[in-house]
Order: sequence, then C-alpha cells, then structure tokens
Amino acid sequence: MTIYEKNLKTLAAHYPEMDRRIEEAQVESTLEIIEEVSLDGEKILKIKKDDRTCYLNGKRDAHELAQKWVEAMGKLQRDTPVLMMGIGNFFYLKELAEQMEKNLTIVIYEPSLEIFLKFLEMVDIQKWMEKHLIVFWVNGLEGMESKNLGGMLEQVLRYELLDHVKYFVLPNYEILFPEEAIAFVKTCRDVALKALSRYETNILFAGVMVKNLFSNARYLCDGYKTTQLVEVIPKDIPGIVVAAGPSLNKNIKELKRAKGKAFICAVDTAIKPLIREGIIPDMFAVVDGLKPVELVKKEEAQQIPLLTTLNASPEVLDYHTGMKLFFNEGYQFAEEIFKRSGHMPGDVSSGGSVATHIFSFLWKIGIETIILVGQDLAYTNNKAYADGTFHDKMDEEDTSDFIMVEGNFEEKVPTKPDLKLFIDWYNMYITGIKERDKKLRVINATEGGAKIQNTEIMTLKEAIDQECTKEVDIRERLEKLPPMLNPEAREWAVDYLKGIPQKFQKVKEGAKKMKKLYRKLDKICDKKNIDKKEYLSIMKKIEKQLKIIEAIDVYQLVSITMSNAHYMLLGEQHVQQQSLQKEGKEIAEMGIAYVEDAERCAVVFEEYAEELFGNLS
Amino acid sequence: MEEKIQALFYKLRRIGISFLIYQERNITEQVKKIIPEIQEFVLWFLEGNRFGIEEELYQDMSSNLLHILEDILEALKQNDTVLLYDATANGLLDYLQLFVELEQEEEADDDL
Repeated sequence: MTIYEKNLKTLAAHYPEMDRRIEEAQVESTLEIIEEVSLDGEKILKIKKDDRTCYLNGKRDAHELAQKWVEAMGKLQRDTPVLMMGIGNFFYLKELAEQMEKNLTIVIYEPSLEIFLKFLEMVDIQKWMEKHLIVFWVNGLEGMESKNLGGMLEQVLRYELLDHVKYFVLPNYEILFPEEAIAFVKTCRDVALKALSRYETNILFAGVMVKNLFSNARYLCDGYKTTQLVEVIPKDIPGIVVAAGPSLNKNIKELKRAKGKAFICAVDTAIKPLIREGIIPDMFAVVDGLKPVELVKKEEAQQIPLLTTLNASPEVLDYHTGMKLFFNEGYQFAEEIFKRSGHMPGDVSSGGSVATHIFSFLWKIGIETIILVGQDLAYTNNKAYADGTFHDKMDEEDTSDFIMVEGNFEEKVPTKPDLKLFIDWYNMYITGIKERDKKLRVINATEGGAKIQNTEIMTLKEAIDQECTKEVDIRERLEKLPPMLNPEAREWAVDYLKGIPQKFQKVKEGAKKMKKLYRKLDKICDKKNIDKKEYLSIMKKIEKQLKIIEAIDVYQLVSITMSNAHYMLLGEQHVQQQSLQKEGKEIAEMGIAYVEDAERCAVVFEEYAEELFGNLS
Repeated sequence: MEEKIQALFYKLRRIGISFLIYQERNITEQVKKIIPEIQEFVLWFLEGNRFGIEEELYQDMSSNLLHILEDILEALKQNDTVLLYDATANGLLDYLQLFVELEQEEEADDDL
C-alpha cells in the first residue's frame, strides 16, 4: 500500500467520504509542483505559479522554519486551535503534531488541491491524526469551498478559546495565493469577532431569556407551527420582508399595492409606520427578548398573525391576541411539546436580526421569490431607522467613523459592525440556498442601503409590477389552520408544563449532591500526598452526577442562564495546572461556585414555573 | 573588512530572527538594502585564498558561495522569502560567522 493510499484510508476513518471526495475531485492545473531534495536529504517542494517560482521549504535546511515556529509558540494548552494556511511544507504539521502534547485542534486550509494531493503522497499522517483533531479544508474538494470555511471555523473558534488561538500562513503562501491568504485571515478575524459578539449577546440575554421562555411557553398550548404554513401559503406568490431601515420612508406607500398579491411579513419596528399608512401586513415578527411593547402597541396589530420565538418579549406576546407561530429552537422542554403536535420539525435560521428570521422563514415555507424592503443594513442618509419607528422623525447621526460598505445605489454607505454581520449572513445564506435551490430569487427593493450579494436590485414599484400578479387572501388561508396541538395533545402539554417545577426540584437535589462531592475533592487535595485512586474515584462520581442532572430536560435552561459561570469553567479547563493538588483544588473551587449558582437558578426557576404554569388550564 | 563583516552578520541575523520568530514577511526589502554589502563580502572572499586553508577547500567554498549569491538574487527576483531566508541564514551567515568567530577567537588569543 502506498503512502497516498494509506493516507486516504486514515482520512476516511476520521472523516467518512473524505477518500471519495479526494478521488472524485477534478484537478484544475493552475501551478507546477517541482520536487527537489534538500541538502539535508528531505523531499521538498518548489511551486511555479503565474511566472513566479517559490520554495515552500528551505533548500539547505528543510526543517528549520517549522522547528523554530513551533519552538517560538512554546507549550500549547489542550484544545488550542491552530489555524494554518498551507500544507506544502508538511514539516509545520509534523513539528506541531509531534512536539505538542495531545489534543490540539489543527485546522489546515490548503488553497491548492494539487499541493494537497502531493502532500498525501509524501508523508504518513496516521499518527498525527490519532494524536490531534486535524481538519483539512481543501479548495477543490466537494463541499469545501473557501466561502464555507467560516462556517467550519465557527465550530472551532469558541469564545473560551479565543485567547489561545494561533493563526499562521505558511511562508510564501501569501506570495503564491495572495487573495486566498487575505480571505483566510479575514475569515479567521470575522469568525473570532462573531464568537465574541455571540458570547456578549448570550450574557445579556441569558437572565431575561428563561423568564421569557416560561411566560411564552404558555402560548405553545394554543400556538401554531411554522411548518403548518407550507400547506397553505402558495409558493408562486412573492414573500415581502418589510424591515424598518431608513429607506422604508421612500417606498412604504407602494406596499399598499402588494396587499392581497404577496405574503407581507414585517419586522416589529415596521408595524407602526405600516399601520399609519393603512397597510396591515399578513404577519409580523418579534424575536427580541427586550423589545418594548410600545413599538407594536396598536389595536390593529393585536390580531395580525405573529411569528415569534419562545424568548421574545413576553409583554408583546401578552398584548397580542391573534395567531402565534413558533418554530423549533432546540429548547428541550419545548421540543417535547412540539413532538406531540405531530407536525414536521422545522427551524428558522436566526441570522441575528428579526428581518433575517423572516427571510429564512419565508424560504423555509417554500416561497420562491423574496422581496426585501427597508432592509438598509446601513445608515442611509445617516439614519438608523425609518421615521415613525422609534420617533416620528429619526435624528441624523454622525457616521464619520463608521465602516463603509458597498451600497445598492451609492458607491459606499456607512454601517456598523453588527449590521455588517447581517450583511455577511445574507451573503452567505443566499449563496448557500442558491447552490441547492436554483428557483430562489431575492429582489432587493430597499432603494438604498448596503448591497447584498446575489440579489436583484429594483425599485419596489418595479418589483410589485413584475411579481405581484396573482390574487391571494392570506388571512383566509391562515384562518383555516387548526392550532398545532389537538385537544388531547393540548391536555398533555398543560400537564407537562405544570410538572416543570418538580423537575427543577430534581436539579436542586442533584446540585446539592455535586456540591458535597466537590467539597470532598477539596478535602482530598488538602492532604500533602494525594491518594490518586480516591481522587479519580471522586472525579468519576462528579462526572456521573453531572450526567444525571444534564439528563433532566429543564437543566438546559439552568446551563444557558449560567453561561457566564460556565465560561469560567470552560476557560479553566484549558489551563493545565502544575500539580494534581492544585488542579483538584481549582476544580473543587470552580465546581462549588458553579453548583451553588445552579442551585440558586433552580430555586428561582421553580418559582417562575409555579407562578406561570400553576394556573394553566 | 572585519568590521563590515561583523555589521553584515548582525544585520542578516536580525532579519532572520524577525522572519523566523516574529513572522516578518517583508524580508526581501530589507535584504535588498544590504545587497551592496553582501556583494562586497563575496568579492572580497573570491579575491584569493588568503585564509590559510587548503586550495581545494577554498575552491569548493568559493563555488558554494557563488551558489548562495545566485540563490539570494533569484529569491529577490521571485520575492521568494523561504529561499531568501535559507540562503542567508543557512548559507551566507555560516561564512560570515567564520570571520566573526575568527575575530572573537583572535581577541581571545590576544588576551592570553
């Protein structure tokens, strides 16, 4: 068996289908690989590309660059992500894999399939793959387009690891593959920024979230499932996402003509301006846990079907009296109820904003043409929102230090990092859909704002003239739908929710047991000579007890709320202590803090649950 | 000449360290600036065997030094930082070090 064949087998053992992808890949020759032997007797590569020839290893000393790089990094903690661009000089991977202790996460992005194939011929990777988590991302292999690299990196770049991440572009890759190198570095940066922003958002919303969840969970009993709409909304009418960007002022009146000829879905902030213009959308959406009810406080809004989430502002859900549509969000207790509905599971991609939720929802129910209105994603005319949203007349803001991005009509428009994330999301999401669903058309009729890739830019008037040609009574169609739970399932759901306080009692009891175990661990570590057997036995008991608590379906809510404390624990796991004693003391201290918080959460949530579910009928 | 060699040795070593440890990738520009000094050293070395070494060894060393110079010039032309680092750090620097060390040894001898 050749080294290449053995490597294919190794890769397939770690990543099913990887061998097939490699063998089926079409090599488009864009470079010439010249193999030489270095003065120290190693096979090395020289690459000829675009009239330029560059070595990937030293021709006198093939190892030195890699050896010194690894030495300079010092000792890496377990799980440290190392993101590398290039595998043409395999000594970098060799040194990293062999010199470092187990369990690094090594991501290698190789922009050239030819170089990757050559690498597979040159060196056996089995031992390295067994020692570390090594991911190869190779341009030209099925499903590994460079634009999808970010999605994979998101799995690796978790917040608690951000301080430890190592990025590296192999020397001369920036010369041979300049565009890919810039894109690689940019992707790493964007993913890190996203992880940071997601973490901060999690903290902010965690406390609010569980309270909202319980309050809103009551509405599941009489609620609807987004997947039910697949049956009643025709696919051949356009879906319109009405966002509340400043450009909405320009064409809001035009929307009247689309009523009855499209499925008009508005974001919460756009409700008031729309109603003021006499336009009642077919649906509106609220997903934000902190949105004030005043934004939608209009009598007409109360009966408009509402697309919402379990952690949306309960004030809004309480105020709203009409049909409420939910989707699968992954909360275990809610999933139990959804299962009873018998309807297809179906989520909605978040994308981070209420408008992106609507966009994803429309696509997921099968709409083939989506028109974006008021989706500026930028400060068009230096304003954040359309007039009539937060104020009758929105103030202009100083945008001189804002990021500038490509505009729909202007060359550049000012935007903020959070809005830029939404632009990136649209770009990625639409591109991803179009690869699978050729029928999808996205028309950006914002008439201002930032450009979204893969959209057709036109005025709303043109879009309506062209697309809104078929009459449809959305309200009548929606009214025909029964709630997602039949009477029997509804009764079960009510009992299930009423039983949630008892589940928190179990979490409380489990946390108390864990606390005792952590205290015992602390005591063991006070001794000069630790009994390793006893130490390991207590660690096993802690692990077992944690598993028991984690199996309780409402524990998930405790762990979400404690994301801050949890982060502390996770972060701690990546710092190896010098001695077992120190490590044990540290684990005990953090563990006690964690379970005490868990117990406190369980007490509070038990009270919430009793208050909100006690009188359910 | 010794002072020039010493200065060149430290300049090249600094460039090498910045490439290796600090991932400074723009070393071609830095090396371009000291090309006249490199050429001066190579010419001085090739002028004749005045080092008291065997003639055959001197000829081999001269030929190798020319290869190193060729590699440096080729690397600058191609913007090939790997070859440039290798030719300077694992090639030219070894030659320069002979004289730096020689000088240090001589100083040590004088002290005795």
